[in-house]
Amino acid sequence: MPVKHLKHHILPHPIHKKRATLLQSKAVLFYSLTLLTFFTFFKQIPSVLPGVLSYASNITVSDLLRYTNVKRSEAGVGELTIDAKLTAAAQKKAEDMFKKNYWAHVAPDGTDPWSFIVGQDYDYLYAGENLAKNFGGSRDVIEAWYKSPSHRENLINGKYTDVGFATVNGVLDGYETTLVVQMFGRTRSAPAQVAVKGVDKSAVTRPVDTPVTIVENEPVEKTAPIARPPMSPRVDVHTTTKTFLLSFAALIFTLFALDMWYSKKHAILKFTGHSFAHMLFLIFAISAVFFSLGPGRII
Amino acid sequence: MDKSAHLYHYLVLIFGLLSSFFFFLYFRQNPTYQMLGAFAGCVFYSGWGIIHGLLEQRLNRHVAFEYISLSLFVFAMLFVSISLI
Repeated sequence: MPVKHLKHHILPHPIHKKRATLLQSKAVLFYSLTLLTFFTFFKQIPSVLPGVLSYASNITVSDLLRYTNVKRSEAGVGELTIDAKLTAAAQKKAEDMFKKNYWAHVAPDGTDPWSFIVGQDYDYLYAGENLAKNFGGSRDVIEAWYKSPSHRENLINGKYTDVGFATVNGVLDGYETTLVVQMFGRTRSAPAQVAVKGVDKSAVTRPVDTPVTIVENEPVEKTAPIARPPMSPRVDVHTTTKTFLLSFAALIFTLFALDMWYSKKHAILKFTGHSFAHMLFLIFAISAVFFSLGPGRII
Repeated sequence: MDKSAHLYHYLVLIFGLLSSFFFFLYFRQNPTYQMLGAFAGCVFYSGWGIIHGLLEQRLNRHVAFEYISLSLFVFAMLFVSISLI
C-alpha cells in the first residue's frame, strides 16, 4: 500500500476535508463492535475453559484482621479476636457459594448466613456478615467495606467481640477468584462493648433477641484461620481488561490529537464535530475506566 | 459564534461530564447505577454535540453521527469495564 494512502488512515485529508479513515464514524462504530466482541469472548471463555480467567489476589486473614482492628480502633471500639467457630462458619459459607455457584448473603435454596454460624454451635447474641470477591489485596477489601455505610456498620460495630474470616479460592461463574467472608458475632455470655452511633440500619446484621432454631446440627469443627496462598492467575481479568480498554481509548485519543494538530498546521477546515470535545470526552471515559476498574465487589 | 458562547458551551460540557464521572465513581460498588450513569453521560454528550452543532449552524447528519458513534464507543467501553469487574 502506498505511503500516501496509509497517511490518510491516520491523518485528515487536505483535499477531501475529511477525518482520517481510522477516525471516521464507521470506523468508530467498528471499534464499538470490537469491544463488544472482546466482552462476548471474555464471557464465553469460562464456559469453554473454566478457571483460565481469574482475578489475582493476595489476601491474608492476618491482614484482614489487622486492618479491621485498625478501623475499629479509629472508631473507638474494641478490637475483635478471631473465633474458631466463626472462622469455620465463614469457611463453610465460602465453600457453599462455590459449590452452589452463587454470590449473595442468602443462598438460592434460602440458607441464610446465620445457619452457618448456628451450624458451628456459636451461640450468638449479635451476628453479621460481609462478603467480597475479585479483590487484589486485604487493605482494598477493608477499605471497600469501610466506604459502604452498611458494611461499615458491621466493621466498626461495638456489639461484636468475635470475628471469623475465610479467603477461599475457587471458580465462580467460570472465573477463578477469591471469595472473602467476614463473619462477626458476640456470644450471649460475652461482655458488651461500646455501641456505635450514626450508622444506617440496612446492614446485613441481625441482632438476635429471639431464640434461633438450629436447623443443622453438625459437629463443631475447631478450625484455625486458614491462610490461602496468593493466587497467580493464568489470565488476570482486571489487568487484561484494563490494558485492552485503556490502550484502545488512548489510541483513539492520539488519533484525534493528531487530527487536531495536522488540521491546524495545514489549515484544513473540515465539516466535522469538534476534536477537542471528543478528546475531552475520551479523557473522562479513560479516567472512569481507570478508577472504576480497581478493587472488586462487595455485598 | 462568539468566543464567550463557545466557552459557555464547553463549560456546560465539562460540568456534564464531571457530573457523570463522579456519579460513576460514587457508585463504583453498584453496577446498575454505574451503567445508568454511563448511559446518561453518553446521551448527554451526543445531545451536547448535536445542540452545539445546531447553534453553530454547522450541523448535518455526518456531524450528528460522529457524536453518536463516539458516544456508542465510550458506552461500549464503560459497559465492558463495569461488566468484567
